[in-house]
Amino acid sequence: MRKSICMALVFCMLFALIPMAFAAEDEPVTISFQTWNPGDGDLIHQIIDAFEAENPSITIDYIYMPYSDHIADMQIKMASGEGPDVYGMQAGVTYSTFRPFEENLTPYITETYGDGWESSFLTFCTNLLNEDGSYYGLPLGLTYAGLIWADMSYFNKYGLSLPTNYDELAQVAQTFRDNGEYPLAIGAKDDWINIDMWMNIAGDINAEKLYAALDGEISFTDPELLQSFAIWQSLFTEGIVQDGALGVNMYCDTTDLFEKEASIPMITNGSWAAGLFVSTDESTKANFQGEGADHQAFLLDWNNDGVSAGLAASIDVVLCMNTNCKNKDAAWKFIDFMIHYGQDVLINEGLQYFPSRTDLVLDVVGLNENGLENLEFIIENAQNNTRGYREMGNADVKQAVADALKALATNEMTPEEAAESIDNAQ
Amino acid sequence: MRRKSELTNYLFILPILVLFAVFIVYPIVYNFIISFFEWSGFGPDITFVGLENYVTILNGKIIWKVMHNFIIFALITITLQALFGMIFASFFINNIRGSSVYRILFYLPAVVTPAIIGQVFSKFFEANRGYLNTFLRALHLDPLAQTWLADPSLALYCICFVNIWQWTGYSMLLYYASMLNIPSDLYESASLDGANKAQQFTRVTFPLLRGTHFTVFILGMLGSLKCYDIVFILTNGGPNYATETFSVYIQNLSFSMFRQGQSATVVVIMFIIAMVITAVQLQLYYRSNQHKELAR
Repeated sequence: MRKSICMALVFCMLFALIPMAFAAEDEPVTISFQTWNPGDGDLIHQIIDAFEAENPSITIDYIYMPYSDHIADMQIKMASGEGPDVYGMQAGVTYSTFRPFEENLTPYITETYGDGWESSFLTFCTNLLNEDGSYYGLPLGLTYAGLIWADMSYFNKYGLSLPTNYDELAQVAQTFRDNGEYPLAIGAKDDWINIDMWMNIAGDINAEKLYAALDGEISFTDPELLQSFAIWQSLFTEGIVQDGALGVNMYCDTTDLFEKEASIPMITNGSWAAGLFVSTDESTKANFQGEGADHQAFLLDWNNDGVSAGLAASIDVVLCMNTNCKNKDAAWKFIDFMIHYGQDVLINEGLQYFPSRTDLVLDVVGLNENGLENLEFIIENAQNNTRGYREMGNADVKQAVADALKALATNEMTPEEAAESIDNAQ
Repeated sequence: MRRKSELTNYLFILPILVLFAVFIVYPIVYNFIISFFEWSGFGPDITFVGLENYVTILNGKIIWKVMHNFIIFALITITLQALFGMIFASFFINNIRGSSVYRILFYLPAVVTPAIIGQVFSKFFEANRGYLNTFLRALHLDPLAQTWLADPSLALYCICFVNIWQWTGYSMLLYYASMLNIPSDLYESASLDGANKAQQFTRVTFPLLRGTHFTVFILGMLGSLKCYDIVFILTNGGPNYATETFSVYIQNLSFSMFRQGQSATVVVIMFIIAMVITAVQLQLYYRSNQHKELAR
């Protein structure tokens, strides 16, 4: 009798567990998603709303942070065992530094996309993210650095043409200065734009040597690399960039002048500036989408050898999953959604990146003729004129380059001293 | 009985001792220990490297630049804040018209968020269309229009200017409160002895403000050591480390370079400097027997 009662109780408990097992799958979960990019705007909320509509049991807690705060915040949270479930990471130093907290996504990727999935992403992306056959993040989109953007109304006003080489740039800059305008604008307080521009210069002179030096295979004292430092220095000593460039940052001290105020003729920036042609900000919209608006992205022949510089490519945002995430399946669902639907929206409605997926058809909504012209220019150069990667993988070298570029700009170092200081950091 | 009474006394201060140990002592000790390790600050890989971090930091150029900036910044800001603070307090203590309003106006910068101050002054000092240079050019003083924050030889002094603007009101308030406590009969006696206003200030007011001088000096020194917000917003330590402070250096090592061990080393150096300054201060302050008695 007693044994029968016990058996009955066991069966009751088993039956009670069955609904719980099913309930666990549908149990509401919240996935936290922290990133600096995509920023807190209509598009990301549109994407999140679409995901939540498709997955009613998953709520996305989106946390936006400016980049520098994002990295510092992530460090503290990860160290305390917390941190967001899904987060954005920049390819390069941070992607490798945060490795202990990046879930190996390879099993999820192969299960969802099958064998041969690599062909659905650009080779550049898979090569960059591949760590001995494992992937700890997926690329949300690509960006390209090294462009200069021009407001043609200024060039037309003073009867100038877009410069094609360094000498023409110097002449154009002087003409603008003589007329009380800004020459080439750069927010040189920010290391990243300085590195972008210098890599563009060095890549134009000899891309092979540039990347060999960054990889520690040759010295930075190579004459062609010294030439790149000298050209970079001359941008400041010859007044080709604006006075006080080292005292202002890109976002938003310098970019606002170009994007919102339309008060400067030229600015150094990257392919992400193409998003201005579909911006919803009223001032930017008026400047870039208004009647007669004419802006041109261009590349320069820095060493006057008849060949213009190329672009440097980077994965702007790598989506990673926290190893401490308690709902990994749900987190993976969100990453997958972001890589597909999210990327489609962010690119074709916001032009925030360029595709990392090979199957993504570029069909940007609301682009005017001028925007289309610039988009085609960027795509053509992205496909045929990319010289290498943008993000350095060695933090010491990156910092040494950043310091050297600022010292060159303030004339506190010669190109030889700059090269030596970077070599010492290898 | 006495022992029980002593034990009870310790029990009363135990909670605060625990808080002190957890939130003050433990982080200091932990930071000191970390300075002997190579660690990203959040990853699991942590390697004992002995004094290597100290050798690396002290052999580098940046720490010496930071110390140089600290000395310059501290000397200029403390001296001028104290001087202007005393002068303004002297005006207000004599009840000039509207002094209560002026006191508030002078003190207001001290309560404004540093981020706001940084943003405003970055526009003020901007080389091309900043308020200062625009004003100078309007007065046809173009040669005086400089690249301020972008010039390594000027950037630190610009930051000193902002700091003095922000904190002089605080010094003024400290001096004003101290001056209120100086008995008026001392001034009457001095006046009867034939002392003029300047002599009364130098022979009566200034010496009796000794405690406030030390307070302003110590607060100024520690504030200079920790200075971060204004520097971060205006220059982020640049151009080329011309305005780098201890706090900015620590932040860059921790969060940009992922070198928590080296960052902890700089914190230890900063701690030693703060302790030395405080010890010297207290030694000078208690040099007088009278103050030693008061301390008892």
